[in-house]
Amino acid sequence: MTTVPHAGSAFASRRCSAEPGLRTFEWRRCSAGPGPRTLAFGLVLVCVLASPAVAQWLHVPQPATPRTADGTPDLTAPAPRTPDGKPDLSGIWQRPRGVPPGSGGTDGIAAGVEVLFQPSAEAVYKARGENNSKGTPSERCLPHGITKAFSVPEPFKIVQTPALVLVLHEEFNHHRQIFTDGRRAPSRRAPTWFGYSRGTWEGDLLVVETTGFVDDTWLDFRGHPATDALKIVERYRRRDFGHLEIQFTIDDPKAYRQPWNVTMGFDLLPDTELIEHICENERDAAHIVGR
Amino acid sequence: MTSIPARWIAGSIAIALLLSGVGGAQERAVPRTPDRKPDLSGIWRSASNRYLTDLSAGITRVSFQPWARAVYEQRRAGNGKSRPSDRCLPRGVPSMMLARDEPWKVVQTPGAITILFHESLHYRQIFTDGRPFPDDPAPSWLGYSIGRWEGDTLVAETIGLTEETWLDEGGHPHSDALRVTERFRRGAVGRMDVDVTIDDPKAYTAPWTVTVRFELVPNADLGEQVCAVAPADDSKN
Repeated sequence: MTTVPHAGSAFASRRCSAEPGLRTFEWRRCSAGPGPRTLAFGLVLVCVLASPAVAQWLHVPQPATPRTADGTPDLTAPAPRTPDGKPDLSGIWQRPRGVPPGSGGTDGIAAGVEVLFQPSAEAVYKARGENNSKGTPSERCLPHGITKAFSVPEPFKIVQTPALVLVLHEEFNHHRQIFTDGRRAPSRRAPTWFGYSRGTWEGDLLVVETTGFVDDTWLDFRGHPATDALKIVERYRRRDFGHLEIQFTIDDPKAYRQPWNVTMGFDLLPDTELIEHICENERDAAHIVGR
Repeated sequence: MTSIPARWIAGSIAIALLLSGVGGAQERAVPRTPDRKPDLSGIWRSASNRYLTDLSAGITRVSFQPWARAVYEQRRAGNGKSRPSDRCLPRGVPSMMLARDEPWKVVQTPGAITILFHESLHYRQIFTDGRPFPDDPAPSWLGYSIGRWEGDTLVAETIGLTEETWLDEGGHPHSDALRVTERFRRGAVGRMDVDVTIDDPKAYTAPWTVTVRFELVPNADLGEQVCAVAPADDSKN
């Protein structure tokens, strides 16, 4: 069986095998062995068959998908547009094959990026490195937050409406709302893991600004810290039918001496549907620690 | 003709306003999408916890299959112990719709209705693009839902629900044969009634239906509620 390294994830994943070039998987419940501590980087998931069902892939042909003469989705066709002329980002997206899944490598999502830490954040980051990134909030089934959620191999779906863009993450079955109706950020709102996101169009770019985060977000599985001063600006660009790019600007003066940028690319998964994935870490949990 | 005391009339009006959910909302037409379907979009919450507690509330007799009765009695005797929602797991369909304090937001688009839950940040999709059910849907916490319009009623059917979900907090069980049908009727701007039918011949000798009322929560923000578990204990591994 091909194993999928899933950096730093101690939770059960429902996708245990993947063939290059295909989104294949089996209906299995996976248990990560031998334990979260050793799982930080390039781990091997041990899969235990939970159901005799054979591998399956939801095939849901989408009529709007442009196709080549032989019926194959034409992933280099122009990006679709909504009736108001904006690029339509809707679709199911996934990190490209060959990109190291997750973001638990030596530098996490900041590979190749110069990150200037504040001293306190640097100490946290270093400690997490020495601790093999143990303690990431998702160990407790808490939401990844924006950049970490996009860094996983599991796909996400964008649903674009005129005043609201939804991001439906397959992983943990978590959703996120991006308001594009011109509203202001609320002055008083409890901090959240995904923050409060507002988007505006700058030409063909959807620019999303998010603030209002909880104080202990991890930006990636490696453990780049963030504080409640975090502001993330995302710039979404659908290059063509099959390709989406998001540039993230991480601006958190309490943790970093200057903002830094990360860009992630995504490939469209045509003619399919998200599969439910629920964090089932509770199966090993002693007790629930909070709601 | 007998005259009706004025205070009766006043009382009746007050009750009518209460029943309408949002005072005055009755007069406004239910919004519609460009294709003239009722637009169910908005934030909704159950009018009470009645059906969350017991989905069979008001039904004289739910006819269990023997094993299902035994499981139900056991769960009741155990006071709901090992209820999945107590372990941060989804309540499943229909139960996740029913909690008074856990509103959900409908985002209606051509081809799909997405329901965003306050509880645990989860979401659910009801596909209205005419697709069939998958041949062999794997058991999942939210199942696989497809919907169609019958006049002004959205009829959503859900299969593929894992047997681990409970139909309510009281512990009504189900089997892998469960098919849940929800008929969404937005009778007024501020009110939606959903007929929930439980059809599971392996667990119940006959289908049963309840009607659950939901209220619009205007001008609200869904917020984010998360459920945290303790991390797995490595020492066990």
